Amino acid sequence: MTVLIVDDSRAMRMIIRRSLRRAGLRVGTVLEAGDGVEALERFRDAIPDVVLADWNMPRMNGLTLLRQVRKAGYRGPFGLVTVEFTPQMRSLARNAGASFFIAKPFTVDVLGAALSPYLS
Amino acid sequence: MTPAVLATSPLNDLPGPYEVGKLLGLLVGRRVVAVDSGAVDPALEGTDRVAVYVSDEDELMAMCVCNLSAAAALGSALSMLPGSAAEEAVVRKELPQTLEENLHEVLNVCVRFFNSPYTPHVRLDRVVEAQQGLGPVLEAAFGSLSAGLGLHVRVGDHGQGTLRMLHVGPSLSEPLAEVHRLREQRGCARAEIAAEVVLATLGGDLLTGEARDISLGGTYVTCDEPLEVGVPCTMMLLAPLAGGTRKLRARCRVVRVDATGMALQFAALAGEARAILTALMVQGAAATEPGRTR
Repeated sequence: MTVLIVDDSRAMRMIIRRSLRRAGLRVGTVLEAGDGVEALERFRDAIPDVVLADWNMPRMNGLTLLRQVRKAGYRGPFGLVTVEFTPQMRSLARNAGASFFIAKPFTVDVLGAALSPYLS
Repeated sequence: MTPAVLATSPLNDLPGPYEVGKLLGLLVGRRVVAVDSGAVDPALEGTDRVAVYVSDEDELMAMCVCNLSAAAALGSALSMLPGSAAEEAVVRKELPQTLEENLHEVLNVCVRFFNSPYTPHVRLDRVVEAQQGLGPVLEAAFGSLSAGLGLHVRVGDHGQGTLRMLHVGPSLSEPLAEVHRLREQRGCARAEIAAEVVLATLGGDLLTGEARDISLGGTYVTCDEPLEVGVPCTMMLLAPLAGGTRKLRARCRVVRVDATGMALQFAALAGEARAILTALMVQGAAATEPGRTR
Protein backbone atom coordinates (compact mmCIF):
# COMPACT_ATOMS: atom_id res chain seq x y z
CA MET A 1 0.00 0.00 0.00
CA THR A 2 1.23 3.46 -0.84
CA VAL A 3 0.77 6.36 1.58
CA LEU A 4 1.28 9.98 0.58
CA ILE A 5 2.23 12.32 3.46
CA VAL A 6 1.71 16.00 2.74
CA ASP A 7 3.07 18.46 5.31
CA ASP A 8 5.29 21.52 5.06
CA SER A 9 7.21 20.44 8.15
CA ARG A 10 9.89 17.88 7.32
CA ALA A 11 10.00 16.88 10.96
CA MET A 12 6.28 16.20 10.99
CA ARG A 13 6.54 14.11 7.83
CA MET A 14 9.25 12.11 9.54
CA ILE A 15 7.13 11.69 12.66
CA ILE A 16 4.17 10.46 10.61
CA ARG A 17 6.39 8.10 8.64
CA ARG A 18 7.87 6.71 11.85
CA SER A 19 4.46 6.40 13.48
CA LEU A 20 3.10 4.49 10.49
CA ARG A 21 5.89 1.98 10.92
CA ARG A 22 5.42 1.72 14.69
CA ALA A 23 1.67 1.30 14.38
CA GLY A 24 2.25 -1.97 12.53
CA LEU A 25 0.18 -0.92 9.55
CA ARG A 26 0.50 -2.55 6.13
CA VAL A 27 2.48 0.23 4.51
CA GLY A 28 4.73 -0.34 1.51
CA THR A 29 5.80 2.85 -0.19
CA VAL A 30 5.67 6.18 1.60
CA LEU A 31 5.69 9.27 -0.59
CA GLU A 32 6.16 12.80 0.73
CA ALA A 33 5.20 16.27 -0.42
CA GLY A 34 5.79 19.67 1.17
CA ASP A 35 2.50 21.23 0.09
CA GLY A 36 -0.56 20.66 -2.04
CA VAL A 37 1.19 21.60 -5.28
CA GLU A 38 3.92 19.02 -4.70
CA ALA A 39 1.28 16.49 -3.73
CA LEU A 40 -0.48 16.90 -7.06
CA GLU A 41 2.85 16.23 -8.76
CA ARG A 42 3.18 13.00 -6.77
CA PHE A 43 -0.30 12.04 -7.93
CA ARG A 44 0.90 12.27 -11.53
CA ASP A 45 3.60 9.70 -10.76
CA ALA A 46 1.54 7.26 -8.73
CA ILE A 47 -1.94 7.16 -7.21
CA PRO A 48 -1.55 6.63 -3.45
CA ASP A 49 -3.79 4.25 -1.53
CA VAL A 50 -4.08 6.71 1.37
CA VAL A 51 -3.37 10.43 1.69
CA LEU A 52 -2.47 12.16 4.97
CA ALA A 53 -2.36 15.92 4.56
CA ASP A 54 -1.77 18.88 6.83
CA TRP A 55 -4.35 21.65 6.64
CA ASN A 56 -2.17 24.78 6.71
CA MET A 57 0.53 24.73 4.07
CA PRO A 58 2.05 27.30 1.73
CA ARG A 59 1.01 27.48 -1.95
CA MET A 60 -1.86 24.99 -1.60
CA ASN A 61 -3.45 23.93 1.66
CA GLY A 62 -4.82 20.52 2.53
CA LEU A 63 -8.46 21.42 1.94
CA THR A 64 -7.78 22.70 -1.57
CA LEU A 65 -5.71 19.61 -2.29
CA LEU A 66 -8.57 17.44 -1.08
CA ARG A 67 -11.05 19.25 -3.31
CA GLN A 68 -8.76 19.00 -6.33
CA VAL A 69 -8.04 15.29 -6.05
CA ARG A 70 -11.71 14.49 -5.40
CA LYS A 71 -12.65 16.56 -8.42
CA ALA A 72 -10.11 14.64 -10.43
CA GLY A 73 -11.78 11.39 -9.41
CA TYR A 74 -9.62 10.14 -6.53
CA ARG A 75 -11.78 7.98 -4.28
CA GLY A 76 -9.17 6.73 -1.83
CA PRO A 77 -9.13 7.61 1.88
CA PHE A 78 -7.94 11.15 2.52
CA GLY A 79 -7.20 12.20 6.10
CA LEU A 80 -6.42 15.65 7.40
CA VAL A 81 -3.75 15.90 10.10
CA THR A 82 -3.62 19.27 11.73
CA VAL A 83 -3.34 21.13 15.00
CA GLU A 84 -6.99 21.73 15.64
CA PHE A 85 -10.32 21.64 13.91
CA THR A 86 -13.10 24.09 14.47
CA PRO A 87 -16.59 22.77 13.72
CA GLN A 88 -16.54 24.90 10.57
CA MET A 89 -13.27 23.32 9.45
CA ARG A 90 -14.64 19.84 10.02
CA SER A 91 -17.78 20.68 8.11
CA LEU A 92 -15.82 22.09 5.18
CA ALA A 93 -13.55 19.09 5.08
CA ARG A 94 -16.36 16.56 5.31
CA ASN A 95 -18.25 18.28 2.52
CA ALA A 96 -15.08 18.18 0.44
CA GLY A 97 -14.75 14.44 1.00
CA ALA A 98 -12.39 14.04 3.96
CA SER A 99 -12.34 10.50 5.30
CA PHE A 100 -10.96 11.15 8.79
CA PHE A 101 -9.24 13.71 11.00
CA ILE A 102 -6.18 13.41 13.21
CA ALA A 103 -5.20 16.18 15.63
CA LYS A 104 -1.57 17.06 16.19
CA PRO A 105 0.15 16.01 18.31
CA PHE A 106 -1.00 12.43 18.05
CA THR A 107 0.09 9.14 19.50
CA VAL A 108 1.00 6.08 17.47
CA ASP A 109 -2.22 4.49 18.75
CA VAL A 110 -4.34 7.34 17.46
CA LEU A 111 -2.73 7.24 14.04
CA GLY A 112 -3.05 3.45 13.94
CA ALA A 113 -6.71 3.53 14.89
CA ALA A 114 -7.51 6.11 12.22
CA LEU A 115 -5.71 4.21 9.48
CA SER A 116 -6.36 0.61 10.42
CA PRO A 117 -9.63 0.44 8.41
CA TYR A 118 -7.59 1.17 5.30
CA LEU A 119 -4.16 -0.29 6.00
CA SER A 120 -4.72 -3.35 8.17
CA MET B 1 -5.78 3.30 22.78
CA THR B 2 -4.57 6.54 24.30
CA PRO B 3 -6.15 9.54 22.63
CA ALA B 4 -4.13 12.72 22.28
CA VAL B 5 -6.10 14.67 24.82
CA LEU B 6 -5.05 18.10 25.92
CA ALA B 7 -5.68 18.27 29.63
CA THR B 8 -6.03 22.00 29.93
CA SER B 9 -9.38 23.56 30.66
CA PRO B 10 -10.93 25.10 27.57
CA LEU B 11 -11.85 28.09 29.68
CA ASN B 12 -8.35 28.99 30.72
CA ASP B 13 -6.67 31.85 28.94
CA LEU B 14 -3.30 30.28 29.48
CA PRO B 15 -2.32 26.69 30.19
CA GLY B 16 -0.67 25.47 33.33
CA PRO B 17 2.87 24.10 33.41
CA TYR B 18 1.62 20.52 33.44
CA GLU B 19 -0.43 21.02 30.29
CA VAL B 20 2.48 22.65 28.51
CA GLY B 21 4.82 19.82 29.43
CA LYS B 22 2.30 17.19 28.45
CA LEU B 23 1.50 18.63 25.03
CA LEU B 24 5.13 19.36 24.14
CA GLY B 25 6.19 15.94 25.38
CA LEU B 26 3.58 14.25 23.23
CA LEU B 27 4.75 16.24 20.24
CA VAL B 28 8.51 15.76 20.51
CA GLY B 29 8.37 12.25 21.90
CA ARG B 30 10.47 13.12 24.94
CA ARG B 31 9.67 13.80 28.56
CA VAL B 32 9.19 17.53 28.86
CA VAL B 33 9.02 19.02 32.32
CA ALA B 34 7.69 22.55 32.62
CA VAL B 35 7.69 24.47 35.87
CA ASP B 36 6.44 27.92 36.70
CA SER B 37 9.38 30.31 36.75
CA GLY B 38 7.55 32.96 38.75
CA ALA B 39 7.53 36.56 37.60
CA VAL B 40 7.68 36.95 33.83
CA ASP B 41 10.54 39.03 32.52
CA PRO B 42 9.20 41.43 29.88
CA ALA B 43 12.68 42.01 28.40
CA LEU B 44 13.66 40.31 25.17
CA GLU B 45 16.99 38.83 24.16
CA GLY B 46 17.92 39.31 20.52
CA THR B 47 17.95 35.55 19.93
CA ASP B 48 14.50 34.98 21.43
CA ARG B 49 11.90 33.61 19.04
CA VAL B 50 8.50 35.24 19.27
CA ALA B 51 5.51 33.34 17.95
CA VAL B 52 2.65 35.63 17.01
CA TYR B 53 -0.88 34.27 17.12
CA VAL B 54 -3.77 36.12 15.51
CA SER B 55 -7.51 35.76 15.18
CA ASP B 56 -9.24 35.02 11.88
CA GLU B 57 -9.55 38.80 11.55
CA ASP B 58 -5.75 39.13 11.91
CA GLU B 59 -6.12 40.70 15.35
CA LEU B 60 -3.17 40.04 17.64
CA MET B 61 -4.36 37.51 20.24
CA ALA B 62 -1.37 35.83 21.85
CA MET B 63 2.38 35.49 21.86
CA CYS B 64 4.79 32.82 22.91
CA VAL B 65 8.42 33.74 23.51
CA CYS B 66 10.97 30.99 23.36
CA ASN B 67 14.56 31.67 24.33
CA LEU B 68 17.37 30.25 22.22
CA SER B 69 18.16 27.28 24.42
CA ALA B 70 14.52 26.21 24.64
CA ALA B 71 14.15 26.73 20.90
CA ALA B 72 17.18 24.57 20.22
CA ALA B 73 16.09 21.87 22.64
CA LEU B 74 12.55 21.64 21.26
CA GLY B 75 13.71 21.92 17.66
CA SER B 76 16.28 19.17 17.97
CA ALA B 77 13.99 16.87 19.91
CA LEU B 78 11.22 17.09 17.32
CA SER B 79 13.29 15.43 14.62
CA MET B 80 15.29 13.28 17.02
CA LEU B 81 18.58 15.05 16.42
CA PRO B 82 21.13 14.48 19.17
CA GLY B 83 21.22 16.83 22.13
CA SER B 84 24.62 18.02 20.91
CA ALA B 85 22.86 19.76 18.00
CA ALA B 86 21.00 21.90 20.50
CA GLU B 87 24.16 22.60 22.49
CA GLU B 88 25.98 23.68 19.36
CA ALA B 89 23.19 26.05 18.39
CA VAL B 90 23.29 27.68 21.81
CA VAL B 91 27.08 28.11 21.65
CA ARG B 92 26.89 29.61 18.15
CA LYS B 93 23.87 31.69 19.17
CA GLU B 94 21.96 30.77 16.05
CA LEU B 95 19.53 28.07 15.01
CA PRO B 96 20.30 25.97 11.95
CA GLN B 97 17.50 25.98 9.41
CA THR B 98 16.31 22.52 10.41
CA LEU B 99 15.90 23.53 14.03
CA GLU B 100 14.23 26.76 12.97
CA GLU B 101 11.69 24.84 10.89
CA ASN B 102 11.12 22.38 13.67
CA LEU B 103 10.57 25.16 16.19
CA HIS B 104 8.00 26.66 13.86
CA GLU B 105 6.09 23.39 13.93
CA VAL B 106 6.32 23.22 17.73
CA LEU B 107 5.00 26.76 18.06
CA ASN B 108 2.30 25.96 15.53
CA VAL B 109 1.09 23.15 17.76
CA CYS B 110 1.17 25.53 20.74
CA VAL B 111 -1.81 27.31 19.19
CA ARG B 112 -3.87 24.75 21.07
CA PHE B 113 -3.07 26.61 24.27
CA PHE B 114 -4.93 29.64 22.99
CA ASN B 115 -7.95 28.06 21.36
CA SER B 116 -11.15 27.00 23.06
CA PRO B 117 -14.79 26.64 22.03
CA TYR B 118 -15.49 29.85 23.95
CA THR B 119 -12.93 32.20 22.48
CA PRO B 120 -12.23 33.51 18.97
CA HIS B 121 -10.29 31.13 16.79
CA VAL B 122 -6.55 31.76 16.95
CA ARG B 123 -3.83 30.65 14.53
CA LEU B 124 -0.05 31.01 14.30
CA ASP B 125 0.74 33.94 12.05
CA ARG B 126 4.54 34.00 12.15
CA VAL B 127 7.65 33.36 14.20
CA VAL B 128 9.98 36.34 14.54
CA GLU B 129 13.55 36.48 15.80
CA ALA B 130 13.52 39.32 18.31
CA GLN B 131 16.64 41.02 16.95
CA GLN B 132 14.97 41.40 13.55
CA GLY B 133 12.50 43.79 15.13
CA LEU B 134 8.94 43.11 16.14
CA GLY B 135 7.17 46.24 14.97
CA PRO B 136 5.22 48.73 17.08
CA VAL B 137 2.16 46.54 17.73
CA LEU B 138 4.11 43.63 19.14
CA GLU B 139 6.47 45.87 21.07
CA ALA B 140 3.52 47.61 22.67
CA ALA B 141 2.02 44.26 23.62
CA PHE B 142 5.21 43.37 25.44
CA GLY B 143 4.37 45.98 28.00
CA SER B 144 1.93 43.48 29.48
CA LEU B 145 4.14 40.44 29.21
CA SER B 146 4.60 40.40 32.96
CA ALA B 147 0.95 39.35 33.16
CA GLY B 148 1.68 36.22 31.16
CA LEU B 149 2.92 32.78 32.02
CA GLY B 150 6.62 32.15 32.55
CA LEU B 151 7.93 28.61 32.36
CA HIS B 152 11.21 26.84 32.69
CA VAL B 153 11.18 23.78 30.42
CA ARG B 154 13.49 20.79 30.29
CA VAL B 155 13.26 18.73 27.11
CA GLY B 156 14.55 15.23 27.83
CA ASP B 157 18.31 15.23 27.27
CA HIS B 158 18.08 17.98 24.66
CA GLY B 159 18.47 20.88 27.04
CA GLN B 160 16.38 23.43 28.82
CA GLY B 161 15.23 26.99 28.49
CA THR B 162 12.39 29.37 29.03
CA LEU B 163 8.97 29.83 27.48
CA ARG B 164 6.82 32.87 28.08
CA MET B 165 3.20 33.04 27.02
CA LEU B 166 0.96 36.03 26.83
CA HIS B 167 -2.68 36.18 25.93
CA VAL B 168 -3.05 39.62 24.41
CA GLY B 169 -6.71 39.41 23.40
CA PRO B 170 -9.43 40.29 25.87
CA SER B 171 -9.64 37.89 28.75
CA LEU B 172 -12.94 36.05 28.60
CA SER B 173 -12.26 33.17 30.89
CA GLU B 174 -14.11 34.29 34.00
CA PRO B 175 -17.35 35.60 32.47
CA LEU B 176 -17.45 32.82 29.90
CA ALA B 177 -16.90 30.26 32.60
CA GLU B 178 -19.99 31.67 34.27
CA VAL B 179 -21.95 31.40 31.02
CA HIS B 180 -20.74 27.85 30.59
CA ARG B 181 -21.71 26.95 34.15
CA LEU B 182 -25.16 28.45 33.79
CA ARG B 183 -25.66 26.74 30.46
CA GLU B 184 -24.83 23.35 31.93
CA GLN B 185 -26.89 24.00 35.01
CA ARG B 186 -29.96 25.25 33.24
CA GLY B 187 -29.69 23.80 29.74
CA CYS B 188 -29.76 27.30 28.31
CA ALA B 189 -28.37 27.66 24.82
CA ARG B 190 -29.19 31.37 24.71
CA ALA B 191 -30.29 34.22 26.91
CA GLU B 192 -33.55 36.10 26.55
CA ILE B 193 -33.26 39.85 26.16
CA ALA B 194 -35.30 42.77 24.86
CA ALA B 195 -32.99 45.18 23.11
CA GLU B 196 -33.37 47.72 20.35
CA VAL B 197 -31.41 46.89 17.22
CA VAL B 198 -30.39 48.95 14.20
CA LEU B 199 -29.14 47.10 11.13
CA ALA B 200 -27.23 48.59 8.22
CA THR B 201 -26.75 46.72 4.97
CA LEU B 202 -23.74 47.14 2.72
CA GLY B 203 -25.98 49.09 0.36
CA GLY B 204 -26.69 51.65 3.08
CA ASP B 205 -30.24 50.58 3.95
CA LEU B 206 -31.20 50.88 7.59
CA LEU B 207 -33.84 48.97 9.49
CA THR B 208 -34.78 48.66 13.11
CA GLY B 209 -36.04 45.81 15.20
CA GLU B 210 -35.87 44.21 18.59
CA ALA B 211 -33.49 41.47 19.65
CA ARG B 212 -35.42 38.85 21.56
CA ASP B 213 -32.65 36.49 22.49
CA ILE B 214 -28.93 36.25 22.06
CA SER B 215 -26.24 33.61 22.12
CA LEU B 216 -22.51 33.57 21.65
CA GLY B 217 -23.11 32.88 17.98
CA GLY B 218 -25.96 35.22 17.05
CA THR B 219 -29.29 36.78 17.86
CA TYR B 220 -32.92 36.71 16.78
CA VAL B 221 -34.43 40.04 15.72
CA THR B 222 -38.12 40.75 15.30
CA CYS B 223 -38.87 43.28 12.57
CA ASP B 224 -41.48 44.12 9.95
CA GLU B 225 -39.39 43.61 6.84
CA PRO B 226 -36.59 41.14 7.44
CA LEU B 227 -33.62 40.95 5.10
CA GLU B 228 -33.07 37.96 2.86
CA VAL B 229 -31.13 34.92 3.99
CA GLY B 230 -27.42 35.34 3.32
CA VAL B 231 -27.41 39.14 3.39
CA PRO B 232 -24.49 40.58 5.38
CA CYS B 233 -25.09 43.58 7.59
CA THR B 234 -23.75 45.51 10.51
CA MET B 235 -25.73 45.39 13.73
CA MET B 236 -25.85 47.92 16.49
CA LEU B 237 -27.63 46.56 19.55
CA LEU B 238 -28.40 48.67 22.60
CA ALA B 239 -27.49 46.20 25.30
CA PRO B 240 -29.54 46.71 28.47
CA LEU B 241 -26.93 45.90 31.08
CA ALA B 242 -27.28 46.38 34.79
CA GLY B 243 -24.74 49.21 34.76
CA GLY B 244 -26.48 51.03 31.91
CA THR B 245 -27.05 50.66 28.18
CA ARG B 246 -24.03 49.71 26.05
CA LYS B 247 -23.71 49.61 22.28
CA LEU B 248 -22.85 46.21 20.87
CA ARG B 249 -21.61 46.40 17.28
CA ALA B 250 -21.12 43.30 15.18
CA ARG B 251 -20.86 42.19 11.60
CA CYS B 252 -23.64 39.69 10.93
CA ARG B 253 -25.26 37.58 8.27
CA VAL B 254 -28.92 36.60 8.03
CA VAL B 255 -29.21 32.84 8.43
CA ARG B 256 -32.97 32.34 8.84
CA VAL B 257 -36.12 34.33 8.15
CA ASP B 258 -39.62 33.64 9.44
CA ALA B 259 -42.93 35.42 9.85
CA THR B 260 -41.82 37.60 12.75
CA GLY B 261 -38.21 38.38 11.99
CA MET B 262 -34.83 36.88 11.26
CA ALA B 263 -31.93 35.10 12.88
CA LEU B 264 -28.52 36.73 12.57
CA GLN B 265 -25.22 34.97 12.90
CA PHE B 266 -22.28 37.01 14.20
CA ALA B 267 -19.44 37.06 11.71
CA ALA B 268 -16.87 38.90 13.77
CA LEU B 269 -16.81 40.53 17.16
CA ALA B 270 -14.24 43.04 18.28
CA GLY B 271 -12.89 42.90 21.81
CA GLU B 272 -15.33 45.39 23.30
CA ALA B 273 -18.27 43.73 21.55
CA ARG B 274 -17.25 40.37 22.94
CA ALA B 275 -17.11 41.80 26.44
CA ILE B 276 -20.60 43.30 26.09
CA LEU B 277 -22.00 40.09 24.65
CA THR B 278 -20.48 38.10 27.46
CA ALA B 279 -22.00 40.42 30.03
CA LEU B 280 -25.39 40.09 28.31
CA MET B 281 -25.10 36.33 28.33
CA VAL B 282 -24.21 36.20 31.99
CA GLN B 283 -27.02 38.57 32.91
CA GLY B 284 -29.51 36.81 30.64
CA ALA B 285 -28.55 33.29 31.63
CA ALA B 286 -28.90 34.15 35.30
CA ALA B 287 -32.44 35.42 34.67
CA THR B 288 -33.56 32.59 32.39
CA GLU B 289 -35.91 30.00 33.79
CA PRO B 290 -34.38 26.56 34.48
CA GLY B 291 -34.65 24.07 31.64
CA ARG B 292 -35.77 26.64 29.10
CA THR B 293 -34.26 26.03 25.71
CA ARG B 294 -34.97 27.35 22.30
